[in-house]
Amino acid sequence: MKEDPNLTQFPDTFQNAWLGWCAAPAPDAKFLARLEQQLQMQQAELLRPVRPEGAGLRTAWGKVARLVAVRRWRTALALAVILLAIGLLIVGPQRVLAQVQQWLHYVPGVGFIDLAETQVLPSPVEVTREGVTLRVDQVIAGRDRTRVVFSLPGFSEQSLTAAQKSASPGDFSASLGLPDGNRLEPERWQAAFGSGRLEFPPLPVGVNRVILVVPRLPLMMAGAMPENWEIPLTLIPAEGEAGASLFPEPYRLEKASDSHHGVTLRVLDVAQTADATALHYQLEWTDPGWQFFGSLGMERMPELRDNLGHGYWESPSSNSSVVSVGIAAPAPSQPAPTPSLPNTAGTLVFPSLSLYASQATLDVDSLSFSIPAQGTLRLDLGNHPMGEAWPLDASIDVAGFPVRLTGARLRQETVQAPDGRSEQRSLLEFDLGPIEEREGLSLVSITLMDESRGLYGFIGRTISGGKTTYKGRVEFQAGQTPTGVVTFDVTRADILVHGPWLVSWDVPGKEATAPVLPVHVSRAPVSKPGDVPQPVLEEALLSDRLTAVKLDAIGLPPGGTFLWVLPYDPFTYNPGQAISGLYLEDAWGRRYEAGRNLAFLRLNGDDPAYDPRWSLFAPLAPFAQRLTLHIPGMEILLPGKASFEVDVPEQVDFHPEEYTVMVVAGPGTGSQQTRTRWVSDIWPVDIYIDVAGCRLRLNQAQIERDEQSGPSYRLILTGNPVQRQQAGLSLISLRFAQVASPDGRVLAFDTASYESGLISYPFGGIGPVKPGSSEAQAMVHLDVTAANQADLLPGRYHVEISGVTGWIPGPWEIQFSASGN
Amino acid sequence: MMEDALLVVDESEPVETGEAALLEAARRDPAAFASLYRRYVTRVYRYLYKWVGNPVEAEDLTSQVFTEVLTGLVHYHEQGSFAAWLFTIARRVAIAAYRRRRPTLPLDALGDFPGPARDPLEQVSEVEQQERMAALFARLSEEQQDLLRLRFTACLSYAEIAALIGSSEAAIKMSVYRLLRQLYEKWETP
Repeated sequence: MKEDPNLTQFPDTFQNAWLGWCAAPAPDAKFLARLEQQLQMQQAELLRPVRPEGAGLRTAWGKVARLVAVRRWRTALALAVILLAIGLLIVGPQRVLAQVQQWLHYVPGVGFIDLAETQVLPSPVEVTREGVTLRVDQVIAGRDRTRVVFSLPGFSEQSLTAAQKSASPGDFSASLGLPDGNRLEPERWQAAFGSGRLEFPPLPVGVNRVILVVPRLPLMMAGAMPENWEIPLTLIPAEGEAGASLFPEPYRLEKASDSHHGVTLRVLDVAQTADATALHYQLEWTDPGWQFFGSLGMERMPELRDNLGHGYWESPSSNSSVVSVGIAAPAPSQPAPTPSLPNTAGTLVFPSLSLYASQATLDVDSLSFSIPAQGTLRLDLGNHPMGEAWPLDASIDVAGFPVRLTGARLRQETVQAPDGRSEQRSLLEFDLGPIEEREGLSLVSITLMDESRGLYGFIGRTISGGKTTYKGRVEFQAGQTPTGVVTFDVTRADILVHGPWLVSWDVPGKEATAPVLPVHVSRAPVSKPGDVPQPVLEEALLSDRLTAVKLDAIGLPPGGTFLWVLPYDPFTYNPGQAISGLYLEDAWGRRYEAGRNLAFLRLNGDDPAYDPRWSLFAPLAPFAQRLTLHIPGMEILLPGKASFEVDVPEQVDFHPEEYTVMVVAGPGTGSQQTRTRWVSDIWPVDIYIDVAGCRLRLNQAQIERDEQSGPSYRLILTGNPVQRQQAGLSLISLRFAQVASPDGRVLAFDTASYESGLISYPFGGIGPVKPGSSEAQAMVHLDVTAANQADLLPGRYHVEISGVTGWIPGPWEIQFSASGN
Repeated sequence: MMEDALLVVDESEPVETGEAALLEAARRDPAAFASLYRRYVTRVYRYLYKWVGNPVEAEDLTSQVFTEVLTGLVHYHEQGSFAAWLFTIARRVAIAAYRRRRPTLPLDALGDFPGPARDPLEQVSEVEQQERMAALFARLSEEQQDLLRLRFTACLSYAEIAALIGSSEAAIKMSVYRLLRQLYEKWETP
């Protein structure tokens, strides 16, 4: 955060004091794991309808996300451990861990650590008093610090009364007793109920026996639990055989790198554990004026892929264990890169690669840097009153990007904070021409500053509806409208460097022969073909990281296509309702829930497109053979063509209107909140839609204004109650082909747009007239904001519709063999 | 008063398209949700910790935030900043907790992360500086404090904060600069 250009303008002493004040401890790892487990369990039970793609709207509507049923994370992990053990027995640890680099080791939850001259605890040490056990899980005594990780096994926060708990972390203290009687005090620590981490200075040379002294357990009131703990600890050298066996040894990569636009990404080391694949990476760039923003991947998360079609997303340690590693004494035959260029290093952790993968690729799409950009922008603002807009023709070159200002406007806005308070702001806004990507670099934002007049502003890009536009903005005190000549200095710019960086390597010990997995299962025969709609198995892939099933459907109305599994009817959605979802079952009666996969499918290589016809499940247990896929319901698409036009008036007045929302905090629970929005009066329209055999009528129009979020102006069209069962379907939503705006802009949509789930506007659907009502009503929402993203765009809008979607209830069962035969 | 239904979250102006694919997957795939959780949980925890000043309450609030995210994720259907939406929830939860019990941040908490070993005089000096910074920070309005927390403790980008607050990236950058300058001027004054 220190590289924030806003902060680096101040002296180092202030920066350090400020950052010191802002620091907050990292959460306890066990808390993180516990919470994650709780969330996984909750996710299994939740009913989750998609809200309509509009803010503050009638939200019992819309299409429904497919059921995500989850279960038995631990079972899947245990399976991974077993498979790894089997793999090691078959392949042999020497081959798996070939090219082992001697000094660097991966310590789960910490990162890659140079264990040279380091002592560790050979096994956890416990002391039990009055039924309470304090366990030291690990000690890593290195040249720069001594880390101690401890826990209280079997400890439950719920078993404590409020009087036993201390809210102040300052009540906790600990020290390391040395053989000479001296004590080391911790330099930093984290503590939670039941666990803690301590960091002490390095042990004196020759010391391998210490005593951990804990006067009071963390976050406990005095007398609540046994006190004055002393745990003797004996450490062993990590470099010896016993020490080295404790931590995964990485293999070193010599030439695993990729470069774009002067930025090189290297994977230096890879460590493989039963549940993780950890990468030690280094990023190096040529321009010393650039400052890296510290995060890999700006538009997509970093991804690990293997040659079997698996993709893997980051695991938690990637966030918590980013460390700069000094490799003190690399093996002579494997010299580490010794860059003289600006660089940074870190750790990325992914779920464990498939045991059958022989090749791996790290994919990082883009990187963000702050770069120097010298320039001056001189503007004559004249003497325009508030609310006026005027053309501009001013240009400035920013780090090679030509930036052209085409217009300016003065306006006031009211901002409502989430807590309900509102305030007035006065703005000088700029319209800009397009700023093209240049040699793989995109301009993200630049800073404008007129020191003499105390004006400070920015120009930055906005991506909306897949389109990138640039806007400028200078905020000032109400009543102090700037006039005359202003001179903005530009000092730095934020850019995005586009890749992708694809760093590939061969996994040692794995032959590049035809992989054993995944097993491919082709389309299952249909037992009851006919006119009745039913899903069919199109394809299945079975691997040690996932079970993937691709479905289609037969017997649909003419032209109908299968979209995805939809477990329940969104129209009758009830938050408290328990449902049985999509799952697989083997002949032994073992269930495999959707979403318990350890990896996802990357069948099309670099193509990130998601095909919702695939459903992913946990990997199969050993000896799973005959499989039954249980399908509760599905959503299908009926194509058709229809169009309508609607006029937005020139003059629209808005008034505040309160509305209530229910914020859901869990199954069957929630709280009502009252909010305010600005809406126009309702005016009558008469729009008749006849598409794919379905007939809908819209007869009311209203515009909603919301400058804080989403499109600033939304046109909402609603209709009288309508028959929901049409064309053999329970109607859910309208599909749009394109919307043509009065200014000539045309927004077009295809199937992929909808499959990506990123379409917010337009939205069209069929939902209850009121929550809980059995009467159905059609609704359409359109974005009617002008291209400058600030004004209402009046005039005639032409809307083309490409079909409707509907729900077909099951259940169905599809049986197939796991053998691939 | 209009009657609306289930969950509505504060929408955010799409600023960057990051994580779109992961978000879409997270609606269907708990492994993807876990990735989202893991990506943000530390920042959320730190942000909440800075509000309430103790790890126990910060953990409780973190759990509350992610429970809401879990239930609300499928309703979140915007292109753009997931972080903004997430921290909208975190912010609301934090404000509610803060107003229930306005704690004084224990100065003990300042001792949590003194950084690398230094000589004792230097450490004393740093504690004094942080106490002074704490006093200056306390003079800011609740909203101003939160803006700085979002940027420097939660490490949100300006675009993400803009989407969260309901403003533009430029305005947020400007506000942060002004606040830092305000703090700096007071900090420089003996």
